[in-house]
Amino acid sequence: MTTTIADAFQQLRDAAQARADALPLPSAALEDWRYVDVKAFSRELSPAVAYAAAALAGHRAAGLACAVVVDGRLAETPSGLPPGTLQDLGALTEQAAAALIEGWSRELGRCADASACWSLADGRGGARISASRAGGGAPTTLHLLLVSTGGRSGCRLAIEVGADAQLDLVISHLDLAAARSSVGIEAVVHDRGRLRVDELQYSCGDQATALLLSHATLHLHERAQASWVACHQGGALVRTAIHAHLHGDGAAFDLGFLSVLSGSRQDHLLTRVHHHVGGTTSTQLVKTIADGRAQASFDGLIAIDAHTDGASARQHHHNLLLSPGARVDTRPQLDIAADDVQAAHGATVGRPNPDELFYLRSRGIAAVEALAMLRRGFAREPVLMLAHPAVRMLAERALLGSLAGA
Amino acid sequence: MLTITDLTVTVNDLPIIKGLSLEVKPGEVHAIMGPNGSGKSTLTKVLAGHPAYTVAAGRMVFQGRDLAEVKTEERATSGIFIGFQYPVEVPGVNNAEFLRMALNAKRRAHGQSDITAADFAPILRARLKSLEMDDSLNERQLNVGFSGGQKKRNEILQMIVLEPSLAVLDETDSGLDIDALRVVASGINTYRRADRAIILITHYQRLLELVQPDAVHVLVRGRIVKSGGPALATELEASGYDELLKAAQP
Ligand SMILES: Nc1ncnc2c1ncn2[C@@H]1O[C@H](COP(=O)(O)OP(=O)(O)OP(=O)(O)O)[C@@H](O)[C@H]1O
Ligand SMILES: [Mg+2]
Repeated sequence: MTTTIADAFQQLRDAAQARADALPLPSAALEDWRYVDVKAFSRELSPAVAYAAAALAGHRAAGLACAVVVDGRLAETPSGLPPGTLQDLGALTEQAAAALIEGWSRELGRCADASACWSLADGRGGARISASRAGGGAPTTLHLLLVSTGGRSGCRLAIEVGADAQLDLVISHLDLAAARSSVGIEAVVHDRGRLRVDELQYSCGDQATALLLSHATLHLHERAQASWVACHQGGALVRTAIHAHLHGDGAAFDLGFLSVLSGSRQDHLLTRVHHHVGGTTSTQLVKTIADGRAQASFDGLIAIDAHTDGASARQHHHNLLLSPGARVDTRPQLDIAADDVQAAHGATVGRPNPDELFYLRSRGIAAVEALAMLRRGFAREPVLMLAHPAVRMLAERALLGSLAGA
Repeated sequence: MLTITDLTVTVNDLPIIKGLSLEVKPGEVHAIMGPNGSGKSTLTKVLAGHPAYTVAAGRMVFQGRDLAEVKTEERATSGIFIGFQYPVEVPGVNNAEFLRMALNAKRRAHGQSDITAADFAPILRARLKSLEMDDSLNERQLNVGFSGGQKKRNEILQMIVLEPSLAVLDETDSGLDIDALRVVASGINTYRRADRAIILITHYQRLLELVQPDAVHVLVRGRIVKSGGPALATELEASGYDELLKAAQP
């Protein structure tokens, strides 16, 4: 990185820190920030990179070749990607870096709360990821393993999917120790392009140590498609904010989100789906399985601009509570300015169905195993939305295996 | 095989079955008939150990073992199968996978090793074929969106995969079309063996013409009020339950 670019990034970080200091934390109405000691996560980095090797081995066993980001810095790049697919921020041309910095500075001004600034303020690096049609049209697949080994770190990903291009991104967040990590993602999908993101979040041990903030902003142009499918184990505090903007006719966004929470883990999701033109569709399926004293929340807004006839949006939130101490809050919101639109939303909270349990047991399946089957059954829909079979396996193993009696 | 003695069953302290006794020997087929609400399905649920039903008095002994302390899943693995009147839909659970899990639960209980998906597939295909069932049902979620008749056939499929010693079939014939009734009856007849017993709960003589019972019982208001040979079914078809209901007035 040239000194000018490095300085520019540093200035941006300082500006982000100043802005974060000035802003409040996200509203505590739904999220229990009050009970989380944010300062405890602000220690310096521990050099525990070796831990990541173990996690990597697991991913490799599942056939996922990974780029590895350790504490916000790109540490390993896989070979065999089309040239230019993955570029470390530090390796960008001055011009490209300047464009990113300018965009991010503008974004800082729009941050509504401190957490949205952290991926810049704590920034240690990041990457630009792009896919273009030049590769011949086959989808480019990139697996990103984001490991936090401790302390504070931030990472930025700038994603661009060219016209008619396809990019599949698998993002795994793995925390190895108490860490505050923030990931900021901005993705632009050009006409007829397709972006599929499979996201996993889990920790190595039983300890819920992670404070993980992700915020993603997606811009979809004409007939562009994007899916974001996440499977989370939760942590001390895990919060994901996804803003999807459907700018072009025929653009489609699908969100699948599964949280499988035990102990005192938390997982919070905020979505803002904006239909700026007609003929756009969006679906959101959010499912939570909560055990112990786990907490989850979903704050989802569908906004449909005026004169956007033919827009269609669905949002569903289903919850399975396994213990009386678990809590899930839901806040669906519709903001519709157009007439001819279809919008549907619904939410349910339930416990394992005793009739279903009895039916399985009456066929010889032990109660513990039958309950595990019902949980897997509940989780199946979002898990099946994951684009990659290997990720589905990882999700089922890492998440559903984590509950007691699984 | 199954001996029920003076069984009284309550739901929320309300007696539903009131002093029922029944003896079923290996190789026998018993039919139970009776008006709506007389307690037939309650009997099947209590045999399976449903938590909503309390055995207030009496005993159920299966293959020499008192069922009182036996858990639902263990009753199944030891050889009791209930074909339910209203099979439950279980979203997200794959039909074929469920069948294999159930079979493996039974195999484990008998000290056998698990059967793999690859080894199970041809077995399942053969069983499906014998019931003239569509393969595609196995890719579906357990009973979810199945038609009434498909659900009933799926119960029989489970029966012939699990090969229980005692099968209790609760109105398996209701909701079946004429062809399906013939297929299911032939499935039951193939299953029938000297070391197995069947209890058929039905409202119609049709099934009993296809599967000849050794004994027919009439259950009215929680009691068996009359027992006889196959002729009793024909008699009931003509006369209805009026006389028996009057006689059983509490
Ligand atoms: N779980 C329950 N809670 C309350 N009442 C019940 C329950 N199960 C059964 N009953 C009552 O017990 C009685 C017997 O019901 P059951 O289902 O055994 O009748 P059935 O003989 O199978 O009738 P049908 O021929 O209509 O199937 C009915 O009055 C029913 O309402
Ligand atoms: Mg009944």
